[in-house]
Amino acid sequence: MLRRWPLYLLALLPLCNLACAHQSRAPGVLRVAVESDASTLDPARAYDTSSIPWVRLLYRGLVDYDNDANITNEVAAARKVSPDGKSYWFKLRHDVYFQSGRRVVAEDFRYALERVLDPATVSDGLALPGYLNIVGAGEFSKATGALDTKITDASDPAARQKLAQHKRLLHLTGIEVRGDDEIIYHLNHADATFYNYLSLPFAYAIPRETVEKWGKGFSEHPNGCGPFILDEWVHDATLRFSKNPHYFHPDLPKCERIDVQMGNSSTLQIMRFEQGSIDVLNISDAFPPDFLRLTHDPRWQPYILHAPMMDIRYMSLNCELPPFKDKRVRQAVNYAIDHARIASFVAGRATVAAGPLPPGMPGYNPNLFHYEHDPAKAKELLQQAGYKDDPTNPLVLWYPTVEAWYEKAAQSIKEDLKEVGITVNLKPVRYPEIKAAAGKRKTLQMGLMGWIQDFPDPSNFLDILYNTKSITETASQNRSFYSNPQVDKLLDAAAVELNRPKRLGLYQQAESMIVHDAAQVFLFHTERYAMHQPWITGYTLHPMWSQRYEYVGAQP
Amino acid sequence: MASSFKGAAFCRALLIRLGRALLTLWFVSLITFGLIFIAPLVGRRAVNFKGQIHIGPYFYFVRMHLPPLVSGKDANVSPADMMANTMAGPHGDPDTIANIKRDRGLDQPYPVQYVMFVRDALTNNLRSYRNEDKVLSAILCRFPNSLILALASLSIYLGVAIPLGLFTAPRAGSRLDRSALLLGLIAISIPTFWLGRLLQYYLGYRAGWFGVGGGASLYNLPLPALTLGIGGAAYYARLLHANLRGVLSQDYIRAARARGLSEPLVLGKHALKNALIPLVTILGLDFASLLSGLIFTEKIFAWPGIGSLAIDSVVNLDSPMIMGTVLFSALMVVTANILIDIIYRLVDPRVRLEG
Repeated sequence: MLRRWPLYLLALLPLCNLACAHQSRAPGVLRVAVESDASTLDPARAYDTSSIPWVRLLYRGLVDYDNDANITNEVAAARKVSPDGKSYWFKLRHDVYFQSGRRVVAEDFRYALERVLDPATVSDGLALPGYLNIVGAGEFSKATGALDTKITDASDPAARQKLAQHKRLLHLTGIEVRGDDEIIYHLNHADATFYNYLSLPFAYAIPRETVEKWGKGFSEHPNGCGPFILDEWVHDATLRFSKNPHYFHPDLPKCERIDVQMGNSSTLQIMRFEQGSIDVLNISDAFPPDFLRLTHDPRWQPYILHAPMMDIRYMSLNCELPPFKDKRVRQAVNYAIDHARIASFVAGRATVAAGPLPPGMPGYNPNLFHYEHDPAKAKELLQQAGYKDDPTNPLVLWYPTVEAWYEKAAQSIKEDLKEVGITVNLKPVRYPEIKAAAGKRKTLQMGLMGWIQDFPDPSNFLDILYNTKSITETASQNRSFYSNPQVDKLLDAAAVELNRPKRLGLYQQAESMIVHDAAQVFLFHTERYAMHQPWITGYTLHPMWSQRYEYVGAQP
Repeated sequence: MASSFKGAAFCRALLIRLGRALLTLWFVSLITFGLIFIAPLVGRRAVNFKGQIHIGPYFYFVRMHLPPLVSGKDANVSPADMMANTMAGPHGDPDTIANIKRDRGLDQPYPVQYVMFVRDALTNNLRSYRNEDKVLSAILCRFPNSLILALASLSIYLGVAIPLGLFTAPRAGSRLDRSALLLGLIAISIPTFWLGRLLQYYLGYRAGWFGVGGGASLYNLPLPALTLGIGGAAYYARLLHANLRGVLSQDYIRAARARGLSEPLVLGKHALKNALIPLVTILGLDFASLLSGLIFTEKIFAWPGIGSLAIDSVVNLDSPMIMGTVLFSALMVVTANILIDIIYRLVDPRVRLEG
């Protein structure tokens, strides 16, 4: 007996192969493979590319973007801003329902933001200025936080219920709910980007009863009004969605089901795409030889898409530390560096940057002044500034070891600067380390970093990266610690300006001054690249959302 | 009378085995808990109080096995704080962190935390820090995938090793035998992460014979099974070869041959049965380790088994899940040991379980 049982097992193998010699493709099913698990499906916690695309399949907000990143109505039927720019009024559609069958009402939008502002939710939205600008937001956040510290035993269901009851009585004063259909957001000061904040998943409609039923498990039991319904989620393995038949845009979504497989490395995704077992493929981060092979293959030419990533990769120059206190040294560094060579390190998936705003961004200025590669001019400027190089005490350039190009760029910059007489030492560090150090004052002399938009508006780049307001002692986003009162004035004026062309003009002025001041070295803007199979329709790259699967169809 | 006495002895011996198994599991739980919660703390105190870096094994462990700290200032943050910080996200204020520690029991003294850990592990209340998964449920959900892969690998081990052993043992010392041994040595030495990629590229991607991976399906099974199977098959072939040679020189084989039995019958029936017995132990332990997860192979082929669960939780600092997967591996090995003992008694009546 013992002799035979392995043979029985052996017989299994060829059987498996016969049974499923190849994976068949069903029309209407979109097959996607990604590297990492969705970090959450709770809109209040969705703030990264591994969660937002999936959360947006399940939940929807008052406003959204059209194909050119203009604001459009989504759950809202009508919208209005008061003349002083401090009140945002919305009227809701009548035909929007949660999966559970209940109609979406104004209260669901107020509850969504109240939940974001409650510290117990641990939402990243709690730190976003757009939400803190709502009247009473700070007080509300403190009050709910105080309730949480009062309970002693969180595992006691009675205590939890009591807490939920207390929280139900607390409301954010700045959000006015008028019946089921009208909602008004009152702001402390005018903010032209408030619509953008409302288009983020943090502000999407959330049913209170579902949250209270599941507590922290809400992420795994979504109940939204989006185009899809969650069927199954096995962490790090699979995520399956099916069409929501009651979605309020009757012609959407275009496909019946989405099957997502997680844990697939970039290499594996490419192999699977070429074999036809997945339908769409992101090659923005693919290994350069693979990227070049795919993009040069005539078979795939018609199915390759690209669009700006809406980011800026830059080298910060600390304006509070010598030698970069001197504008001329900063300009010299800008002239000394060969931008085109650095952009080439990502295999053509980049455009050389003149300033911080990427192409595709409203207010992008194609005629912006650009520092050409000019070592002679750099030397001249250094001489004017009286810069003295000290090889025994070189400048230090920090760079993160996350992506391969950072290292190549750092070496290239080191050589470029050596040519004009600046000695640089390289300091490779882990990403969290450079993130922490770059935010501290007078810590980093130079660092290679990047910024990707939260939403397509110039303020999201210029205010965050260059306004004096974003300088803090330990967590500064203005990582060059650049401060120019004139620029601040322009930025602050633009932030409250509701006339869009005038507003964008102000931002262009500010950007031009920032570039002339050489606040940092603007290296390049990344390009996103994606591919799809011939049978896929409606797959496009959007300036705001990394994926919009509701428009994608799978033909037979 | 005699047989019931034997049965009682067997039960007694089995109980002792079970007791030892429980003791082992208890030790493993203590060590896992200690390594995650207490060891890093001791290491860091050594760095802090003396004001200098202490290059000892402890320090090495801390630096090598836990993510380095962002700055020296955070050096006195305990692992419990770090876990609460991770859960609170980048904007968590001290109150939120304190609430999370309270809710998760991370502010309790270590003995209490340990008791809570054991209690939760036994009642399936141990929860992941990353999502709302219960640790045991998550492991059991992936267990079928690991089981299928383990069975497939095992069948390759034996399916290749037995014919190969039967073929080479009677020809010991011949050129064929020596080249088979050499090939076997090479196959054992190939690291799985390299072999896996190679098979994936050539057999899966270029030739298109098998699935390249990406999810657990029978279509994707052959390549990961082969990746594990090749090395295992070579190892067992060598082992069987050595055992068979030993058996073949025994008197009863000579007697069988003298009785005029055909060579295949002698080899396949009389010799093989006895040569396989010593393999059972190793096979059982190998099966246990296959079941408790194979990090490289599962990662390369995106096979959602217990190994990829373990590595995903390490990457994400999900300590309940890490402790859970370690305990589960220990449980597999301990169970395999007991089963091996029982199987031994069944296949070889000479073997007695002695306490």
